[in-house]
Amino acid sequence: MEKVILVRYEEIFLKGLNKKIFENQLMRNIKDRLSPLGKVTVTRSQSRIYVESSDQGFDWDEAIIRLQKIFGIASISPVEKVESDYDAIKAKTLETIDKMLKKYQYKTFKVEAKRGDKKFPLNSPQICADLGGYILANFPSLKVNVHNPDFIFYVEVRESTYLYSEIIPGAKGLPTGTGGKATLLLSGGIDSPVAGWMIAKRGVTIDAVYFHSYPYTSDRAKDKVVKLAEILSRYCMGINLHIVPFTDIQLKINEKCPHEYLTIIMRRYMMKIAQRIAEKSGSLGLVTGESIGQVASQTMESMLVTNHAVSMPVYRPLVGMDKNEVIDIAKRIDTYDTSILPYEDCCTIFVARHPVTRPSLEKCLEYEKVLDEQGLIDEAVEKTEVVKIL
Amino acid sequence: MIYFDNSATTKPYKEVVELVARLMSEEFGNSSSLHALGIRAERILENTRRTLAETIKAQPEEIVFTSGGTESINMALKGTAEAFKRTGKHIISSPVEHDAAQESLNALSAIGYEVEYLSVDEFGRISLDELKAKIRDDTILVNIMAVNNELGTIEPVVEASHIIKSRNKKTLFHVDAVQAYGKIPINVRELEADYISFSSHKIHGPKGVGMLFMRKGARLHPIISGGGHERNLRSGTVNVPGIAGFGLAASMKFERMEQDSKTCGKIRELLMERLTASLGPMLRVNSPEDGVDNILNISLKGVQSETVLHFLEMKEIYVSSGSACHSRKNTVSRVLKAIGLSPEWAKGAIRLSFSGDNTEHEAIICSEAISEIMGTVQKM
Repeated sequence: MEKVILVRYEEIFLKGLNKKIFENQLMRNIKDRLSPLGKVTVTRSQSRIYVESSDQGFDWDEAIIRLQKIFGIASISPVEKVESDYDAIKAKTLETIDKMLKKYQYKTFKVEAKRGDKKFPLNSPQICADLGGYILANFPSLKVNVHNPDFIFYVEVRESTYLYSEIIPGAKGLPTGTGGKATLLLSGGIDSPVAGWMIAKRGVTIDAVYFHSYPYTSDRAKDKVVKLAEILSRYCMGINLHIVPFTDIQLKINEKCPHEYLTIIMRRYMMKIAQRIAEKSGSLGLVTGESIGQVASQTMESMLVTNHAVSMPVYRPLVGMDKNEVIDIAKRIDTYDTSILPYEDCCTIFVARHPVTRPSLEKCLEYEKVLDEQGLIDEAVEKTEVVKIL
Repeated sequence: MIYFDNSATTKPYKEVVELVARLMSEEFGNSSSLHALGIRAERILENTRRTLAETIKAQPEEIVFTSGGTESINMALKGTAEAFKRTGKHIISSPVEHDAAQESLNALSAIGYEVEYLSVDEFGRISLDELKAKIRDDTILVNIMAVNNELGTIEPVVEASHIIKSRNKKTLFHVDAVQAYGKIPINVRELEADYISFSSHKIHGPKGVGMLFMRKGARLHPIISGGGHERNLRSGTVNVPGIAGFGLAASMKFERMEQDSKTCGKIRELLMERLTASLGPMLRVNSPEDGVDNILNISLKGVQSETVLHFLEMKEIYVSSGSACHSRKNTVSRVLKAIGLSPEWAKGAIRLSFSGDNTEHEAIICSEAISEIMGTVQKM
């Protein structure tokens, strides 16, 4: 009899030969995230993953928190494992429910049984009825309520039998590492971390790029982005954060280009640099937090102009979302409180009073001619600092 | 390194650090304990109380120790408002107070107190005539700071105290002396305030220590409940080593107050002279001529103060943009707004604040650095 966490994943995505790849990756990810907590074994049986540890000091609560942030997991349950012997099951049922009633004031319950092992003498309805009666006889305070019980007592009879009453929703999505790699343009704002999270959810590994304009912005702005990358990396199985020194480029643009085009030209440079970094790291696309019409640089016209700066696909998972919808996700994934810290990022200092909202690509290309593009980008990429966030 | 941010906090005197460290390991007793170790701690505490009381000509029993300026101010404002809520709900304040006072007043106003603000001139100075006219029969409290933390302006708190007491004997007066203590004389025989707040770390003492002067007979409702320390006014095991450090810092600071003031004045003058010469119309001095010697607030045209701050930081010169508390809020300082500074000037405001440890040579280096930065930083 031991403690086990049962991990469920959505089989709908797992078709044909891919199934194994997904399952193996998910198991590797679980092992990676949980092994710092102690010795852990991760096994699979009948499309379920079981996390077990014989380590006395294993932190089960932290393990559940970490599992909730691993993509590809549909739900998890902390379970009690017993041998598939009816007397043993009954004994463990008493012990488990007794413990539960000391903690929660439950009044009603029902039993749901699943028999995977057909050699077991009782079938599922029989287990429900018999075990339900046994529970009623032993806990006079409890009543059965099949429609709206305070708790459901689940019994799964397989090679071993698993008893549990809690089903905790997982992060859903696909296991990180099964979907290639993308490079996220990460600012200190609310949107870009959410955009990164949404792409990562589809199994994509994330690299992040941050443009730093010291001393025009504070090093606190950089610390804030590092902190955001740390929060994201709990979902992404680690992130490489590329910190690009961007001051010189901004100064040159500010000095040489018409002011209403500052932001859009700056955005184009960011895309170009991100693409260079993405190519080097083997990314297959760029990710931004843009949403149509949110600010001047995110109109359809502006996006056409920034998109034109790169040949790689640009993924914009927030493109059709309202700010409040983005904020809701940011709160759920814990990036919101960090995002709203007030340190200026590079976008807020070099801004024209009236940035152009309908930029023309032709004009942009014309204005950019005065800049030594190759030289500026080479230098920025060369001086980029990489922080590995685990 | 040139540290010109002494109004944010100061470097503790070496002697203070040594004393606090020694007392922490040797005299760790609880000043409320009945045994010898507790009694020794209590003696240190009471001796320090006497020392600190003397610096403002107060009686030792008029001093309550707190965790700092913010707590003293909260205690004075919220504690009197609560204690005298049946007398009235009218409070008068200057509009250029530190956040500790401003936010306490906002909290009071949210629960039904009527807070009225005085108008101020271009340096943040209140008008005494207006104060006189605004005091009513139900005015329970007036709150004015002695020295403004952003501009260095000295407020006429002594005159204000006489006006208040002659208009309404029941009206209580709180003075925030956090920036004034150790810089200008504070004498509770002249300044007829009922409550005065002080902080230790602004005068080279340890952080986390402050005091509230409460005139004999004045009362307030404690905001922290507990074991009844500090005559039931401020519960919590007393920070004896920190308080002793505060006491030593105050003694040392008062000994060199005149000398420090001279040094700071010279630095302030040098900076103004040199910056005016090199920057001309790109410079605006926001501090008044007759403010404290250790604060100089200036505005630089066409730049953001945070940018200048980081450029200076690269040269290991540390200053403040407007006020240390505001630099995190990304908005124009409330005080600069209140004195009617235009947004263009307010955006480029920096505060240089000095201590006796600074030198004239540092002033020259700093003024050169600012002039150089103004030449290289691109204007937004």
